[in-house]
Amino acid sequence: MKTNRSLLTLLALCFSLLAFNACDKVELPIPEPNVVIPDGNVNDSITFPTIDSANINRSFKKTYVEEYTGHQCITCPFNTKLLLAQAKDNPERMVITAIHAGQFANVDPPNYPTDFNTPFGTELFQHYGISAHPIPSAIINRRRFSTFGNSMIFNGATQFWDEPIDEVNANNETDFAMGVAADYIDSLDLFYIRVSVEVLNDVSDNYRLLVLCLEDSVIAPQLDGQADPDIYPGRIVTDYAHRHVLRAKLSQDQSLSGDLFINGGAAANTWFDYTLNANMPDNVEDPEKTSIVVVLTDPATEEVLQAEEAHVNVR
Amino acid sequence: MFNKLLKGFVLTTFIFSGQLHAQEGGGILDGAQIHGNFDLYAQQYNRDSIIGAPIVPEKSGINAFTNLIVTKGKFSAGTRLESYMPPVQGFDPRFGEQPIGIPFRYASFDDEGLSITVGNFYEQFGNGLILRAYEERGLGIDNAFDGLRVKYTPFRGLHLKGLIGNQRYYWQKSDGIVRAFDTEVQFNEMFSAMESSALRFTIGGSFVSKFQQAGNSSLRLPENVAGGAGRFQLNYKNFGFMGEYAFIANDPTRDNKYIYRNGQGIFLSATYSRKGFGINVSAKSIDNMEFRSDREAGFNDLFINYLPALTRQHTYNLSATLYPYATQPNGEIGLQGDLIYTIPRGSAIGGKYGTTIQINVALVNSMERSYYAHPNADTAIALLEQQTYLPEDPKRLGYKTDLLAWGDEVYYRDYNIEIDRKFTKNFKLKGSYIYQNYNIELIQFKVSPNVEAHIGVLEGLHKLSRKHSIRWEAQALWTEQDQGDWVFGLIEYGYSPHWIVTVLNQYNYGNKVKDLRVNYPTAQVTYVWRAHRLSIGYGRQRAGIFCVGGVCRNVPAANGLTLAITSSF
Repeated sequence: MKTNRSLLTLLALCFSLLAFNACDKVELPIPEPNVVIPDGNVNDSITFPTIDSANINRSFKKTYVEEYTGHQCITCPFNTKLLLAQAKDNPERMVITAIHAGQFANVDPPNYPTDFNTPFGTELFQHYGISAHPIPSAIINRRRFSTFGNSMIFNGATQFWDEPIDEVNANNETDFAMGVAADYIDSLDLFYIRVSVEVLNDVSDNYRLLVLCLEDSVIAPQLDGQADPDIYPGRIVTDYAHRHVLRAKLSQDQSLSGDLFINGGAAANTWFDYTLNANMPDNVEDPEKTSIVVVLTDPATEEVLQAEEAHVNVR
Repeated sequence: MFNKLLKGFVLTTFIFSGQLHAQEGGGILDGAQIHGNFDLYAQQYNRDSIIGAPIVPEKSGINAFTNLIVTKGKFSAGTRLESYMPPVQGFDPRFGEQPIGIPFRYASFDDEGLSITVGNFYEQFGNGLILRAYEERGLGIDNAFDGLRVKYTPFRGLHLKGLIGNQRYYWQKSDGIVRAFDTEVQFNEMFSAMESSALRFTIGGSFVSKFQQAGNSSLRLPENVAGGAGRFQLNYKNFGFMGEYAFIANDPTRDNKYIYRNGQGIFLSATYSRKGFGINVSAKSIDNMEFRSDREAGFNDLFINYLPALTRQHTYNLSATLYPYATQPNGEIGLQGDLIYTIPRGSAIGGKYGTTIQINVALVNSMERSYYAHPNADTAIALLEQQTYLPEDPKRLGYKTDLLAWGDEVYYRDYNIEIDRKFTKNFKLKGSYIYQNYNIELIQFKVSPNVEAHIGVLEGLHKLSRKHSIRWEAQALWTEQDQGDWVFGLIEYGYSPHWIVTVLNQYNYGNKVKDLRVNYPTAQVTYVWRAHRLSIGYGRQRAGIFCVGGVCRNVPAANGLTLAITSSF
């Protein structure tokens, strides 16, 4: 065969053009968020709830507990009771979020028909590698404790969580005071959430705000090692009240730490307001039992610097 | 599915054989040649909790490959049948998603400097820094293209290549499409005046682009990512010098935490050699050079490029399989020097048959980096993993570095010397000392300080007669870290030309945990006949890591029978 050089050279040129023409240069991978809103309404006729700034906690850093649990976990109810008792003994000190994730949270009808899993809970579960730890496990203020072997995740196999919680509960200082108020407008299926933060001491970093929706006292089956098998066959408590159940993350950013809230530090006595509209998560059974948990974090260390919970006022 | 594929293969074979028969009557394959090969590795597994052998429900694993290639004049076509029933432990279980099938088939045409291939093919541009598709069966790597390739030489000395295709991803294909073009100019071929010159000079350039849809992501991902490379090779008498520089435009991937930093890499090598003496010095630096046709791929999957390790490829058991280095595509900087000298035969030191000394030094370190998001690298990486807007790094470049910025973290050190001497016509001895400093946390994800290992090896070969020989190895590894000290012994009896019988044992006598001071005995018989080789063994296999050219896979512990067959026809 006699090759046609012009044709083949043209073919080579086409190949090179195919390759050379194909490169996208991205200058700004993520648009800068605009979430620090002085005040604002989505619906002009509805205003965001107000916060009594005089009565917010300025005295201590609250203890934020992420409790990893599951309805097929036989020891979880016992440990939850201890956690709730500790919260009762330390009124206004603790904010608890129960995260159902991992194999003990698998839906397995007919005994365990309820799906408590959430995308955000699973993301946290994976991020902290909880699958390598016994359930229940807890993370307190998303920080390590030098007093407990630099551990971050506490459970029956390591140091149990009561002592690190006591350590945080004993603190008497904080850089941030935070108030939260939340309304749910049923007719619009819309939360109106306001968070006000007062900077108490000069701070220099960036801080994020994570907003979560919780539902309390959800009645659904739970395996309970302390249950009487004569009353609850297989020790499955069919009318168990699941407390502080995480339903969804409401903050908009993909980050586990929430939306960027304070950018580049702030001087003492500066106030920051954050308002958010969001729909009620589909998995909520009773809006009257919902609460909004807000967590202020330092994204560089992931540590929780302040947390607050507010019951949702349904209107 | 299995039956369909088997039928397909039988049918293909039948068509081939039918056409061969047809040649007697003047069929289209008149004068065609068929050749190929068969390769099988099977392992049977026994329970052995002491060595940590996993329980395999199937009790055995088989990897088998059959290549069939038909050539006739300017045409050739081929297929490869692969079967995994199930895959041998240590190979990716995704190979087992289809027990048998034909993942590789092609047809090609070559004529007067033009070569066209459709279907599957392998390819390499330069050293592979920007593109290399290859198969390394021992590692379970096959990133073959499936598409179209054209090679063309319009005139002597100018070689052009263009290709487009998807890459193999176990039994599927990559989401991404790769388009690539390469030009090489060989001046000694191009200019007749240079044909017999002592100066040999070649230059080349490549451009590679991949396309993958952005999908659902909070990031604005580039769907088209391009890279390029330039290279040269210069030889003058006993001297050789070669180099390649590669560049990849913003390519956020799972492995690089979705940063948009450009990647770049450089490889340089200088050689001098004459009879009985050779020296080579090489340097390599790569930064963010992981280039895959799927940004979500991990492990050894879907690499478009290849980043060779600048370290010696050891062959002795203890030095090769406990702490072998694996290239770090996200960034590393390294140097290697090789010196080989043969003390002339007949001299006082060289002895009657001469003595060869080989010295090799390899150093690999991290690159010095300064992260934008946070001064602490771990914290910065944790922030990048969250895929959120970082005010300190709005362009998500990740970090600052210089291609020649030598970092503090030692990834690997290998200082080794090998002396090879033939004492008599029938006796040869080889001795080696190897020092390795190995970043086991980085490479094997074990929480531990770097392993510092000292390895001594002695190998002897006795020719008892024309047909009978005995080869033996004695090895020892001493280290304070990881699993502690090891010894290894091997005796191999060869009865030429067919039989080889091997008995070996390795013993982890220095393990800090007494219960893990375990022996790993193995016996093996090999029969070789023409281009066929059959090997049967029984024993314990130690868990380790197997690497070829800086690319590695884990080898799990096993106890049982092994069978290996290779055959060419």
